[in-house]
Amino acid sequence: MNMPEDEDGVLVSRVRQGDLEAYGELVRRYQGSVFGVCYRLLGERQEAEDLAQDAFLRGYQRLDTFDLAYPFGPWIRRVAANLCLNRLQRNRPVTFDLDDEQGWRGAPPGPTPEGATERRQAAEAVRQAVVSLPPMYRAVIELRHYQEASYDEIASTLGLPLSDVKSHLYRARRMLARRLKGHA
Amino acid sequence: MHDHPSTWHLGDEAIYDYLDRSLGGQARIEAERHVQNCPECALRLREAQALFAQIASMPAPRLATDLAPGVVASLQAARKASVRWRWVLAGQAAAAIAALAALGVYLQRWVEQVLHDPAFVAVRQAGALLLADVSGWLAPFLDLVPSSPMRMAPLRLSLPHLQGPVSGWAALAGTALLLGLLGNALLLRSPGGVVPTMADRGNGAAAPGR
Repeated sequence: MNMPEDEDGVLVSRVRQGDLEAYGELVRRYQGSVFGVCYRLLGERQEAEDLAQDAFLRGYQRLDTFDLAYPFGPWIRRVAANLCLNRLQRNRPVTFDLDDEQGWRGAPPGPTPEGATERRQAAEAVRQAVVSLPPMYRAVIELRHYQEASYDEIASTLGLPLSDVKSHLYRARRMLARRLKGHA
Repeated sequence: MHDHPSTWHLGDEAIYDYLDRSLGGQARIEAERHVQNCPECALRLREAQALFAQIASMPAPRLATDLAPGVVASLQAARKASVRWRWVLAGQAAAAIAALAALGVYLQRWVEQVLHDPAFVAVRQAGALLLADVSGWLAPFLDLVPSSPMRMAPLRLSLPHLQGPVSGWAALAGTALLLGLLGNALLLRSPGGVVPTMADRGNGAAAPGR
C-alpha cells in the first residue's frame, strides 16, 4: 500500500508535466494544515485564507525546487510560514480576532460541561499567548511545535543562524511560560 | 555536566534541547541521569513538559472553504496569459528584426548615394589635395622628399544632399523605437507568465470558487 507521501510525489510529477488538476488535489490535501499555519501566525481568518491561497500559488511557482525525496506537506507549510512572516514583518502588528470562535475546531469536550468549558478556556489562553508573541518568536514556535521542524529546518526556513533559532525558541517559550502560568 | 547533582543544574535551554530531542549522545544520557537524581531539575523538566503540552493543546483552526478551485483557476489564467504574452513577445522580436533589416538596406543605399554624390566627391578631392600639401610642407622637416612649391587648392566644402535617405532612416529608427516601447509597455502590464498572487490582486478580491 502506498504512503500518502508517495502519492504526493506522483501528484507533483503530474503537475510538473502540466496537470493543474493534480495540483488542485495537492491543495485539497494540505489546505487545512496550511490554513492552520497562516491562522496561527496571522490571527485573522480572511487574511489567513488569502495567504494560504498565496502559499499554494507560490508553491506552484517554486515546484521545480521541491525535492521529491521529501514529503510535500512540511514543504508547503514552510512556504506558508515564510509568507506569513514576511507579511507580519512588513505590515501592522497583529491583533487577534477574538470573536472568531467558530474558526476553531475547539478542544475536545470533557466528560462534563464544566470540563469542556475549562479546556476551551485553557486552549483560548494558549491561543492568545502564542499570538501575542513577536512575529519571529511566533514563527519559531509554529515551526517547532506545530510543524515539528528540527532546529536546522527552522534555520533554513527562516534564514536564521542556528544560534538565533535556539535563542528565539528559548525566549518565546519563556514568554509563553510566564503568560500561561495559572492556566495549566 | 558534573558528577555532583546538588552543585549544578540543567539550564532551561538544556531542558528544552532535551525535550526537542536535539540533545544527542552522551549529553542526553547525562541529562537523563542528572534528572533522576536532582529533584529541582526533575521539577523544571515537568514544568517544561507541561508547557509543551499546553502549546500542543491549541486547537487546529477550521478552514470553511475549499481553496483548490481558486488556486487552479488562478494557475489556468496565468498559463493562458503566459502563452498569449509569449506570442506578443515573439511578434515584437520579429517586428524588431524586420525593422533592423530594412534599416540595414536603407543605410546601405544611403552610403552608396553619399559616396557618389558630387559634393562628397569634391570634398574627398579637396581632402586629398590638402593632404598632399601638408605632406609637402612637412617633407623638408622630415627630410623625406625634396621641398616642393606650396600649393593650396581652394577648399570648398558643401554638405551632401541627405534629406531623402535621412528621413527614411529616421522614420525606420522611430518605428523600431516605437515598437520596442510599445512592446515593453505591454509586457510590463501583463502577468508575463508570473502567477498573480492575492497580494497583487488585493485582499478584497474573491477567488473563483469561493
